[in-house]
Amino acid sequence: MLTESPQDTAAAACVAVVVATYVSVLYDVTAVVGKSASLVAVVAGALVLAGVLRALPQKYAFGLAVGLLAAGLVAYLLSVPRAYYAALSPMRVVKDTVALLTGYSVLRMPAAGTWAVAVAPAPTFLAAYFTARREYARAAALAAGALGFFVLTGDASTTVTLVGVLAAAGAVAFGTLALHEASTRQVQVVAAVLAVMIVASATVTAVPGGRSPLVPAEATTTAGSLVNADSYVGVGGELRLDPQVHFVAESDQPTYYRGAVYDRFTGNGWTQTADVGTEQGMPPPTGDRITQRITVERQLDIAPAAAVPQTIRGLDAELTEGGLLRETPTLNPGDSYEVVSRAPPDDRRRLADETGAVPDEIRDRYLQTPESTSDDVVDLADRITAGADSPYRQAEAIEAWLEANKEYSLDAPNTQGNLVNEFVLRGQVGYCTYYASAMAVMLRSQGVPARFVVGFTEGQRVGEDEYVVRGVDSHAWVEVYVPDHGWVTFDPTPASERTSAEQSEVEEARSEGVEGVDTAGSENGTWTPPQNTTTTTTSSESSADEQLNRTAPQDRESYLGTPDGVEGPENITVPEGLSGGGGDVGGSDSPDLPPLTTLAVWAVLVVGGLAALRYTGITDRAYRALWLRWLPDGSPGEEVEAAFQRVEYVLGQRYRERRSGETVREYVADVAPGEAAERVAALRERARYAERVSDEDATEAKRLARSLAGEYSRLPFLRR
Amino acid sequence: MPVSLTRRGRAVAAVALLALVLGYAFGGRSLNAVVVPAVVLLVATRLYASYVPEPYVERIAPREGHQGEHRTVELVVDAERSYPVTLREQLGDGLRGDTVHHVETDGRTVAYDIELTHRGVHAVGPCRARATDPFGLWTVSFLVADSHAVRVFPRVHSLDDTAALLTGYVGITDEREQFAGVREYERGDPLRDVNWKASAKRPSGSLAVTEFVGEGASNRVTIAAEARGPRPDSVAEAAASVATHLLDAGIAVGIATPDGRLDPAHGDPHRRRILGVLAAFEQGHLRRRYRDEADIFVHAPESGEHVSVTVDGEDHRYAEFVGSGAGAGRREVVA
Repeated sequence: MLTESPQDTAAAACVAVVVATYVSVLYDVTAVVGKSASLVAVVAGALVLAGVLRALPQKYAFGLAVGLLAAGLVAYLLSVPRAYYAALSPMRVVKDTVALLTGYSVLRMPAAGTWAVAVAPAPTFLAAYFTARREYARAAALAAGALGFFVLTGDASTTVTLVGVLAAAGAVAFGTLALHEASTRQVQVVAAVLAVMIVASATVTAVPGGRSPLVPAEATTTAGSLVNADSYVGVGGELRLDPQVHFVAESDQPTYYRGAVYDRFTGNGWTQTADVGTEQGMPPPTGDRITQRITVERQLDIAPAAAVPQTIRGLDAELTEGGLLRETPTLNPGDSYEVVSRAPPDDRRRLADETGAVPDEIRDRYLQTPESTSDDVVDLADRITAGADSPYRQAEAIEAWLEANKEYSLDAPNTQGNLVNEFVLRGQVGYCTYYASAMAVMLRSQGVPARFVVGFTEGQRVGEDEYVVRGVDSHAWVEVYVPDHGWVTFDPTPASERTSAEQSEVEEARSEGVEGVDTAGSENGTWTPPQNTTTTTTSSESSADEQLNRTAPQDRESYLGTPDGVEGPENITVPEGLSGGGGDVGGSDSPDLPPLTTLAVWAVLVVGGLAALRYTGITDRAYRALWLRWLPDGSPGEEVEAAFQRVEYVLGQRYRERRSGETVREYVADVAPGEAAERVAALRERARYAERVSDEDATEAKRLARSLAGEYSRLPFLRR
Repeated sequence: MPVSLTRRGRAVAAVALLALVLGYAFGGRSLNAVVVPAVVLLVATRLYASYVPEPYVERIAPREGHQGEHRTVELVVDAERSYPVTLREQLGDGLRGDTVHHVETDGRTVAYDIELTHRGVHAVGPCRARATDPFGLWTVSFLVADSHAVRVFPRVHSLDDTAALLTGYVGITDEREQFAGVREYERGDPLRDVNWKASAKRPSGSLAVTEFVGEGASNRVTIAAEARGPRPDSVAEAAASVATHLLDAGIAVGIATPDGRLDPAHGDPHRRRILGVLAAFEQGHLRRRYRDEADIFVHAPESGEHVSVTVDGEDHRYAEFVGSGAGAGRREVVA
């Protein structure tokens, strides 16, 4: 009906960008848990539908969108495990919605991929529908609303958010300009305002907690410890752990202290989905009974405890069916609680040949791998576990391979892509989260359920049953599901290198006089059992006691020996010249291009800056000012001509411009500009027509032109 | 002029505020990238709107037209600095057209169509200009162009069949064959009566007009119109049709209405004056003297059931003059 103007096109493009931002967030979710092909298909379907139905009256379009959303959510509910479906109530829906809007990541939802596919079409359809009807502001508002949801859940990064906000503002502006059939001047204003928005959001902090949108996310983890109450733990990047004491434990045995369990790997971090550890009917732990009293020295958001807690005293926390502590209150220095745990099974003779069935609930939750996982990683895992015929043996093989082939370092490189691909196929160094993530992903690729555990190692032994645990002792390891026995602990990180790295950090802190490094006599060195005469500072290495290792499972093969029948899986090497799958293989030297969103922000910033310059005319004015004062050197004739041009410009600004066809003599006679200008005009006439002009004349003309230009620029009211 | 937030502007402000509150209550997330740009947007556009110079709007509108016609109104919009502006024209009840125009103040011309739907004197304007920033978050309102009056003339029916009747009643025969003589031109004489040959021969150079037999004192007619009841439109249409018919026949026509009177005369300007008087015609009582002096009296009784034309003391239904289809499907002529 109406003709498309460039502003219309720009507005439609901006709406498309807003849609792309929230679709990209959803795509990231599906890339982790699967169904990204379905997501692309439904989004395309929604766009086509909007194109076909754009003549539909608004009421029906809204109805259709609501119908799409409702149908999607019903389909989602049918796909989630029965337990959620049964627990569904209006109260629960409200609670979950509030949780999402206060920062509960979409990634933590059960069946998040299905959810993403279910909710994507409705807003996309409406945004496309309104765009087709040229109601850009509405379309942008709808799409921005969808993006806003993901900003609130915390899934949209700062840069993605900023791109979405800019595009929404652009869509509104270009829609307004298209309506007014406005000129380029207004487009310049829009671009300039967008640029100011970028600069301000990068420099001003109104709401603390975000990152700068102008630089790609930094890769250093500077947290005091890996263990926090967040549902997400990033892996990768340089790690700087804090040497201060976190808690002191009184324990029958040295144990690992479990903090949190994660089940979903995103490629560079782990998230905890809802209700992790609530699986019903898990085999009970059969190991030793351990009683621990934990006294907190620094504020903690989780309650560390040896696996698997059975009863807890002095702490108001929920203990799930699967033996996980949930909803622990924030613990303050001086708080203390007692946990009685039952260690997980660790009897190799009984576990090694177990090949029973895995419950569906476990399979659904603990076999996820991100879509970005390279086939080469899977192939490698296939080869490493080729000789292993049970989950336990497979886990052993992978653990042995990782310990033998990777080097421990806290200064590990980080990547934008999938960290496991990078670490397994190319990287040679990493620390605990690298090892544990790699082991979990490789096991999962072999159909063995595995999960990522973050907590603390046993710490420094300061008495017969007293241990001091610091930030540097925070650690990540793996739990592997063995049919009929439950979760078995594996630690693929080479223990000796880890402990020495931790120790050197503590000593450095001590020598620098950092406070809170020592407590309960830990500065006096490590307590060693009386019969042992070694003075090693690490407790795990010094202990040859098998019972000790049962819950602190380091270097299994060192006391169990290489598994029988498997000929050294650790000798398997990563194939040379990998291609595909993992992306830019071996391109470590080529500089990484920042992500598209960052580039887009920079592009808008530059364009906006240029537009602001053009709108205000600063460039023109600056050029004029320079041109007026700079007189070229050359032959006297040329110099006089150039001087006259300056004079003529000044006269044009001050009186009027010379009309076409008007001779200079007539013009000067008419405007009567005064002696100086008349003299230059006369000189120019002589230079041009009589060709009698001397160097002195040229110098005089230049001097007069300069003084006129100076006089002109001192009269601000004459300047425009 | 005060700058005010639009609905859209309020929405942006609400989003910024909500994001700020949620950011402080439940953690920052990426909300800084929402709050700061939104605030910058509001402030920048506010500055833009605050420095909007007053727009100049000039309206070029028709002065008159017949009921049912379409005319074009033009608005020339300019300002010292160009900015988007929405012009809202106020149209009188008898006019119909697009009143809202989204433009920019860069000296451009907007043309829009108005339909003259009802007889009367109607106003185009005043025009209200709402200046806005390019994002449409703030507006500044200006009153720009004053109103313009448009006279909408009544419909004119062609009185073909029974036209002779009327001329007969008034005592006019349109016999133009029989030459009576030549006299000097008087103001108001129809141009077609000018005798060019005779004029050329006259030494004074003034014009001469031909007189025909049958033209006499009654080539000047006054029509009185009165609507006591609720049908002023019908009376006005009837009076306008009769007047047009007589003017077409070369008769000088005068008009008397409750609001005023015009002496008989010829010519297009006079015709427009008569139609203009009838455009403003309203229900009311005519002065008795006017009615007595008039040759033709067009009137509707208080009941308003029909319109009568009284000539020489004899009443005729107006419908008779219009012909067979009178009343329902009258033929209309745009004069």
